[in-house]
Amino acid sequence: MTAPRTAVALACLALAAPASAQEWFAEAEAGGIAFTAKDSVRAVFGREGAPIFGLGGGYQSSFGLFFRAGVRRVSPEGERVFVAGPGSPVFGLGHPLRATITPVFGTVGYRFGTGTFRPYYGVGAGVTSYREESTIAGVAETVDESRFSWRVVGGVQVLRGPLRFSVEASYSSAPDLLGRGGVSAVYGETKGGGLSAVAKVIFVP
Amino acid sequence: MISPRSALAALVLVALVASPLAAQRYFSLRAVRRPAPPAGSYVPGEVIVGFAVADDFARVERALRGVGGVAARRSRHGGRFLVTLEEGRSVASAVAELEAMPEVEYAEPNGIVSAFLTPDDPEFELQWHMRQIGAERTWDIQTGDPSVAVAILDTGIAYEDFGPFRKAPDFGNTVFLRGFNVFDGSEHANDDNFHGTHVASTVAESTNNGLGAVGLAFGCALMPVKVLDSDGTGTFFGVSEGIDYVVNFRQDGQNPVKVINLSLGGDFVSTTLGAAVDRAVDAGITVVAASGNEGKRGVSFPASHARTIAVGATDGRRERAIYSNTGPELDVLAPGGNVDRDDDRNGFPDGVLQQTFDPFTAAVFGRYDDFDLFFVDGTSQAAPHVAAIAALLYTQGITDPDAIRESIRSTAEDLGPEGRDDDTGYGLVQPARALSGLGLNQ
Repeated sequence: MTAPRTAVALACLALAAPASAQEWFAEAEAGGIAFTAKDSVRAVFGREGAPIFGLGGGYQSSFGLFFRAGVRRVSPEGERVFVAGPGSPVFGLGHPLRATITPVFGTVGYRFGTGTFRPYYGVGAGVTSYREESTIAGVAETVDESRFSWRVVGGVQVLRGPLRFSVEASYSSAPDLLGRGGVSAVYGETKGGGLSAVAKVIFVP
Repeated sequence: MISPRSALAALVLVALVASPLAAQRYFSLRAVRRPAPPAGSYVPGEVIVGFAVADDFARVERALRGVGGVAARRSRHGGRFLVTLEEGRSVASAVAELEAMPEVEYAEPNGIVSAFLTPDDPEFELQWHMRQIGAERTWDIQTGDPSVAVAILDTGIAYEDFGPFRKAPDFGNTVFLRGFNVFDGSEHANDDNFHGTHVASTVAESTNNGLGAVGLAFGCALMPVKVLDSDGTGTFFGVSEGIDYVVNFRQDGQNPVKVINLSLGGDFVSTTLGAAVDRAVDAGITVVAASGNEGKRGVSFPASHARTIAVGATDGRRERAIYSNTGPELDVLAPGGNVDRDDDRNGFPDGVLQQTFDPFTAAVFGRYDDFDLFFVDGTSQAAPHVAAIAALLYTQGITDPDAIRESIRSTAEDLGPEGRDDDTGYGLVQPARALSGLGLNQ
């Protein structure tokens, strides 16, 4: 029976030996994201990914459980295009476009171990806001959307005194953030988010 | 203003379009803080700053250096400075920091402005058809380029002084490519009817030159190809010859012709003409054709060919004109007018207004120099609006005929029942919307 086994495993993890003393922390991160809506993103921005930056903070319990909240920002620049349909050529039209994607997440998770290298995982939920601005012959066109979003994270933290580091991978999804118009409607791509990898600097007062 | 003679001439044209030949008939927030302006709408690295203490240079300099200013130019007319920021400095953060300083009255990005073109052509105000499809906003985005040409396969164009023929006065700034006359094989494709010149003028009559009327893609070049005679009559074979001339045309090793306008049509499907259209589209040329003026169900050929853009007509009410043919092959509507109506109540018939010569003078006296502006209606007049849009789209960067057709279809304003229908196709063309393209999510 898988479910009881999972419950027992989670209980063992929660009651495991204290990973470290409880503490508050703040963190800054930088890395990259490969968007789920890769065809749409490639058409408009010329590549499937973009740099990502974030700030956050949280609380690490002495039992390994942690809670954190944070905000990320991705702001790729491209141009408006025309594409007749999936598989059709993409034609750039030269009108500058910037998308700003700002996910805000709360995440709960568990950090293993007591050594220098401590793996962790977590799940989170929040809201992702999307703003698209383009300027066509001096006239700005803007679209704003916000949708519920979720994510799963996993990483390894390196503990060396009050300044710590970690590398983290995450997958996020914001259903129906896209696909209301534009290229994403042409390709039928409706999910915001994607697979991201970041390096974090963690400050513990 | 339009002379009484022109109004009379319009009536004459109405009579002429009643001639028996099918080809001729197709003329008939409150925010405490202002939102940041979008990227691309201001000069990167520049900020305008208004100081309450503009004459206190020490404070001004200290403030500007504090936000990464490396140079500043004071206005000759007040206490404002144009500040150049150090490389990599964000305009938004500099503005935010400056606004927080007590000595600063205001700070903002140095926005980019552009001219909104309202042409000075005196009769533009009577060209309701250009306003119906948002021509002024279209020109803010794209006016065309002479490296992109539209071939007008018609009765010829009044584009040169040759023999009894004269160049129309409002083609002064219009670029013409070497023409072709399928009747004599010469390069002199002069108009001896009036129709081709009127159609060509809708595409590229010289614009913003203080004379006459406007053309929608006035920056593009024209190629005259005479495939219809002085009666406005031609054959499928002749039109096919004209299309092949366009397909094989080279100038400096390139073919600048990207659009063919066919304001003509016949009653049955032609393998010969259909194959010529296929060769043109395969060569990257968009083919636009008029749907026909019988007011019947059944789009004429070659508009009914699968690879052309079949164009029907709207009147001044943004409705399908009563004469405009319908059917499953119809793609879009464009302004074709109706000279029997005056829906804008300006005292002039609601035809498409462009330059050409007086067909009466031409027919009776053999003179092709009696130029004026004439109101003419028909799907022949609608098609060149779409040909012009195709040329503008090509200039903007869409280089595939199928993509151009889809762009024109998908951005049309839906008329009639929701979605595509056989009476109005995908609806009334919207060139500015087509030229704007697609964002990621809008």
